[in-house]
Amino acid sequence: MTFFFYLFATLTLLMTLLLLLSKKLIHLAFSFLGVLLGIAALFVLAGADFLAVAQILVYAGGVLVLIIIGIMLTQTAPKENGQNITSHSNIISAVLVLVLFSMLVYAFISQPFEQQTWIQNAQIQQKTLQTSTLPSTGILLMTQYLLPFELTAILLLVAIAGAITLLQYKNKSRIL
Amino acid sequence: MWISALILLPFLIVFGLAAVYAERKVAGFVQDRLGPSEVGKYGLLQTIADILKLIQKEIIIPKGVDAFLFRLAPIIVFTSVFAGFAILPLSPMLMGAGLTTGIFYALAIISLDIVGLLMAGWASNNKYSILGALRAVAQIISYEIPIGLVVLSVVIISQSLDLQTINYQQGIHIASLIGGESEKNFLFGIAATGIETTQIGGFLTWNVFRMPFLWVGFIIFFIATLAESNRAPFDIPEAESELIGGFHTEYSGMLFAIFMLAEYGMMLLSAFLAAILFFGGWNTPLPNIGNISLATWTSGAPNTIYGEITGFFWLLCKVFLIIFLQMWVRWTYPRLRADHLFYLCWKVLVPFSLVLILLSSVWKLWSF
Amino acid sequence: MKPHNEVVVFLQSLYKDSALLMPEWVLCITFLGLFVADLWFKKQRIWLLWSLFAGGLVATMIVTILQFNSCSCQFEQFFFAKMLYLDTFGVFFKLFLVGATLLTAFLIPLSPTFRAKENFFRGEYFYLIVAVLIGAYLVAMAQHLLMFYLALELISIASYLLVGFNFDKKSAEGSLKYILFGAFSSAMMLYGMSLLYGLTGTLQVGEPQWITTIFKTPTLLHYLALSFFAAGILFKLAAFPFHFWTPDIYESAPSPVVAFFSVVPKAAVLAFVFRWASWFPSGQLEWVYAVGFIAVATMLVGNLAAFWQDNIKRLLAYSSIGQAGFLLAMVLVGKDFNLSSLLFYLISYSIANFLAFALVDIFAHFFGQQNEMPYAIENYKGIGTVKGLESVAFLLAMLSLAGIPPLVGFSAKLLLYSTLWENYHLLASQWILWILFLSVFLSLVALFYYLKVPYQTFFLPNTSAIPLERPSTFYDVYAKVLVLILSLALLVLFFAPNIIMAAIQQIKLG
Repeated sequence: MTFFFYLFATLTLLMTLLLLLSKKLIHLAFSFLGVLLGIAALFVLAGADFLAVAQILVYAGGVLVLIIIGIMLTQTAPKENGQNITSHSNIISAVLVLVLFSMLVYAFISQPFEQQTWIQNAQIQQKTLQTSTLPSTGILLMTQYLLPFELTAILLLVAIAGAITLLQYKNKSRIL
Repeated sequence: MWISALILLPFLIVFGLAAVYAERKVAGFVQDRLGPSEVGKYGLLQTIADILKLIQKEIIIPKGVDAFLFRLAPIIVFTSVFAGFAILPLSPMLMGAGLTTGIFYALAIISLDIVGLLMAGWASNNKYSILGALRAVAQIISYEIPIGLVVLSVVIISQSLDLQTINYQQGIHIASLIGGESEKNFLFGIAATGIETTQIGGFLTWNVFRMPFLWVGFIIFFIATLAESNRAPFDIPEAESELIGGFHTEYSGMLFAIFMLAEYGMMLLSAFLAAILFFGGWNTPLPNIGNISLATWTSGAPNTIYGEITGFFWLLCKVFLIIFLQMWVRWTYPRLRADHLFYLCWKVLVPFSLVLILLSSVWKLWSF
Repeated sequence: MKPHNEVVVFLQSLYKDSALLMPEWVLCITFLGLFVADLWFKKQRIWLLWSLFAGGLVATMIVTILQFNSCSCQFEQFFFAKMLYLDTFGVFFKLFLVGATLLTAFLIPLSPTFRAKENFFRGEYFYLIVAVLIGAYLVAMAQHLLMFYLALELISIASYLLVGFNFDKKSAEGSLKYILFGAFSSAMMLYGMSLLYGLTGTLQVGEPQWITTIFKTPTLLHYLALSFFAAGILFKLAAFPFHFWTPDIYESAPSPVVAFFSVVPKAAVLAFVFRWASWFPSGQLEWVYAVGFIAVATMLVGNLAAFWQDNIKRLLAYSSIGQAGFLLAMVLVGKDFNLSSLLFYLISYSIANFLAFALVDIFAHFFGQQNEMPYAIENYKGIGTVKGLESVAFLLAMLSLAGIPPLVGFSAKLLLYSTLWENYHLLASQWILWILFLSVFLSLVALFYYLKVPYQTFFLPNTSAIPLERPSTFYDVYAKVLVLILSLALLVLFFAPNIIMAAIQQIKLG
């Protein structure tokens, strides 16, 4: 179990590095697939099987494809002299990001997570890891989280209707 | 579990060879000609010869392609289709991963092959390829929706995503299922009829008889999986007369063969899923009629060797019948135009499958 | 598989609670009704859709008033599995939100595109506004981070779309910018939420156990998580340092939508912020410092940047940033004081703001005949002699925003300063005194840019050719009546604030 965790964690990190370092935009998008799959594997190891499958379906099968098509349709030929990496704003943002990152790392390390009651309770009830989270997820979505669940329906309806509206704007016979 | 893993890959490859031969013969039959007849008796060795030729061929990587992605793409396509086989129960015992999320996992992992297709289209650096890939993506993503909705209505009836559980529910061995001891089947899934079919079995306990509207569901599923595996009449992504070969225009040798294998794998997988979701999986079609207990004779109890063999046999019969149907459709109907394709998906299949979900939920209430 | 007994009990309680969601139900029905009507009616539908929209809002308003009346005698309560919390404070905000949306509805016919009398007016415009309102309603009551996030996303996504509804290049650019900024801030907020969940083990905010874990012994991770979380909220409030999007978006979106954005999402988020502020432990001052710093910075940025604007919409955008700073300063008032100063300020700000945007559209239509840039301030030169009523109304709106008597803005500012003064005495913190001084000073500074447009209208001679007076149409009469009503409201509320104060003073934060 621990071995698999480290395996997939390393894989995910490597893929993330590949994502960040790849020169071509399209390689970036495809290495994102590796990141998403690695995260799905980590979800499985954490006992969240439903979440893992949903992650693959929604992100790898849906969002990623959208990103790739977006890149394909907008990418232009690479310029002769590309962006200068050591430009002024790049250095400032690099420093800011590094500061934030080190603060986060320090905060995570210094935070006594194991003393928290809810984590201690979860460690005692480790049995729940053995069973699938699917039935409990379903029941929770239909009881406790019913309202957010239904709100998502409105959210998606708004998004679809709006996206189609914005796409049609060239059709001058139907302006606002 | 591991036996299944060992069996499936050789099975898939052999099936691929046999299916290409069968397809040619079916095509010949439909078009009133002979099909392959030169190599071996009745042309039986034709596909073997073809695959030997493909193996010998050089894998041509054209100038200007993204070589890494070009090689990776067929692997991703095939892997994602093959990963879908992991959850298939081939017989009461012989199965891969007994996931609780079974069919949901299969739908999710199959959807990954779109990424591979896009990769192939982009890496080829060819207009035909990219057009084919974009068409394939639009088509596959659209047709995933009716598939998902129909599967959902089956899941409402069976109350489980686990394909093995769905199998058990559709036959006389329902009591062998953990937690299924008290479950009962009624004629057409309606408890009010008072006719209990739990021990009659046969075709009467198949999902299409437990909820008769699932016949419509099967038709939707069948059409949508045809589109999902890019087969005629939904083969606009690789339409030879317009796009040469779509996303696999530039592919040659074994890389091309892997694409073909993935396509046949997709056919096989969708046939398996259709057989399990609608037609009782490994359960026998013959019912017990009074003292003539055909169902008990033709399907052994789970955990016995006879049970395994009969289960495997019945499942394969159903699967091959559905594959024959797929080939028959391919050689009968002409290719759809792109707008007709999307009309069919969004304005016909999706509304019907939404109504089907509603009907299934009502139907489930009657079965208590 | 038969459902478990406890699930059945749970579902029954949800069923019972859904009666408390009555206003939201009415809104959802309006939303879907507009959706269907938009598809159904092909011709002569502009006013039909509008009346459906306004009718739905009026119905919602009535139901909300009923809820307000029943709520003030009942006890406050959690409902819907502790997702939402119903108290007079929340219901009052809902009332305010629907009132503001109704004003938006009355502003829409004034927009130049509506006047162009297109029979193919887009119904999406209306139901997206309703969707924003649904989100705002739920944000005002949210007591659960998931609920809050989804409701806020509903507001955001509908807003991104509404910005694009001018259907020109500028509008599309604004919409895209808004999406990028918004997605970034949402991501930060979501990250903060996940950290908060990790630190507390619950998404249920406001429970005693949650408050103690978050506020009593904060570590560095707590501060980081709260800052990430605050990013999303500050973005919606257009407060420093997440205010950059405001001028661009305000400039490119349709004016009624801008007026709507400058009030409704802000007020909804402000309601949520106020609930948070009420949980700050009264002894610790670092929360006061943090909020105070953001408030001061927002005031400074908004009021100083407004000077250099030559576009009326950008000027109003910076003005709304500055006003957001004043509103945030109210958070310092905290739970121990009555909320009436905040609510009164909110009301006075929105009336003046709606009046200003209505006039921007009226003038834009007036200039629009031969002008490429109908929102440039230099257009307003000497217009006071031609459009007398509108120019005076503009002066009133600006003076009210700046806080000059005898307008309601003055009473609002006075209330704000007096509560801050009381708070200074109570907390004995120099910091609050500084905030007080600074906000008084910035109010004076603001007067200069608020009077920029009235100066042009009344004191400068007209240089460009003024369009000929055309025969007045229905729209002109409608515009005059609306302007008159809103300007009168600014005056009347100064002389008789008790009209709304009586209702406001009943309000308690649960």
